Amino acid sequence: MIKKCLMFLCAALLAVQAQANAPKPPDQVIQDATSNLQNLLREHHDEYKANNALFQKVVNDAVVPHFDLPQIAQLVLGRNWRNATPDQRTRFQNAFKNMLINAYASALLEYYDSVTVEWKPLRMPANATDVTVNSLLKRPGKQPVAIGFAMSLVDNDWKIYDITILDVSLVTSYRDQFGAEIKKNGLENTIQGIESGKLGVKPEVKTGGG
Amino acid sequence: MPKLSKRLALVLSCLALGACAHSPVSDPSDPLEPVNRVMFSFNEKLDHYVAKPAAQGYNAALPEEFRTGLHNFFTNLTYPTVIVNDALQGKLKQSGLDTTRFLMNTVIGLGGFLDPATMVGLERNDEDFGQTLGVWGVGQGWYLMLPLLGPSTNRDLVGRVGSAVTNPLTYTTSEISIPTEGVSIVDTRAQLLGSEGILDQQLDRYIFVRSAYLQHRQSLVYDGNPPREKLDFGDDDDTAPTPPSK
Repeated sequence: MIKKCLMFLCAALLAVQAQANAPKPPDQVIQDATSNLQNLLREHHDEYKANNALFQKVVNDAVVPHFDLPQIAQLVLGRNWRNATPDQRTRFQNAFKNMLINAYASALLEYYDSVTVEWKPLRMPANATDVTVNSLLKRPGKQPVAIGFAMSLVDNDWKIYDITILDVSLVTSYRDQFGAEIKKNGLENTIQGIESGKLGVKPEVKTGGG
Repeated sequence: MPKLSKRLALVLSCLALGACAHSPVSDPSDPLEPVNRVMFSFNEKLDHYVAKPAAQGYNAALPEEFRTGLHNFFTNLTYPTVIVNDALQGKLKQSGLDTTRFLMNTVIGLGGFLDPATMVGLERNDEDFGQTLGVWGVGQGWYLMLPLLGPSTNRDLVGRVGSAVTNPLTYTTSEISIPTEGVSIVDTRAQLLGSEGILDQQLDRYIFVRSAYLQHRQSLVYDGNPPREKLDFGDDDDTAPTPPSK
């Protein structure tokens, strides 16, 4: 019996060794990032609430690296991507990122402790480079919300390039909205609009005074 | 009976209208946008002053168990539509299971107030005539914003007529059907309470609702697994993906 256990242990160790160079699995990436952020929020909640700049930085460091920003910018610009200059592409990417952080960071501060996430088992074929990690967001007294994270392998790291909420893709719905705006006012004006905050979204939760 | 044949004529003529208008989800055909936008703001006002307060009152007045029961009842009432459309889409096994589900909830579940079928593993499915037309390859046509009824397309408008045929309320007197529909609408709105915040996060609510509605319908046509959109960076016109054969 002990012998069998030892053999199993050895085999497991070998398997771990073999996978040392393999990327961290996509579902693990998201789950770790989520619990990391929740822990940070639990420990420093009041600090973040008082210091918006600090919290923006934390989100930038803890969340943003898991997103494939260039890919997202390209998907959101869609057919306007080709006509954009390299400078416009970078500016759009940054402005869009900041817009989203502004929109969702306050909600994060407000709801981080009341939501629980149930992760669905990931079915991923070997050598896959594109997967969707499915989860169920549960809030007390409300219907659970199905959220999917579309991820692809970028330089041996799994990164998010789209989030689907109840089968509505964020990338697609922003592409449609920016597409209409660009059609009306042109790409340059649209980018300037996002940069200046004139074109943007209200934070879901209004942050109080401090 | 003549009422039915009139409906059928309407279905057929609308079908013809819907079928000639193919357009990809990513670039929806919305020639009526100016009118649709007017309807949209009318609907938003109506929601703000009538539907939302009604839903809030409904939530406040009735205990949760009772509201869940009513919600189950309305879902079960229109379930024949699901059974018929399972069959029309060739999902015969699912149609059989959904028939079992309907009978079980109607008989054992006290007319649909309880949902014993889900407890024994007969999950609820979502099918309607609009989806069936999509599976058959009919394009969605124009995006429409209907007064009172909300977003739709040519295809889904035709589907609504079909769903009316399989709705038992169609065959009752207006004394029964109107109040029942009324409560059903309030129930639907109450389910959405608390989700309005997402609308405030958008640059253009009209376009967001259009985008979300079309994506949602597309996903339903493909039973939750819509094909990944072909990425379009302006090189060529992409066409609507062909629906699954099964």
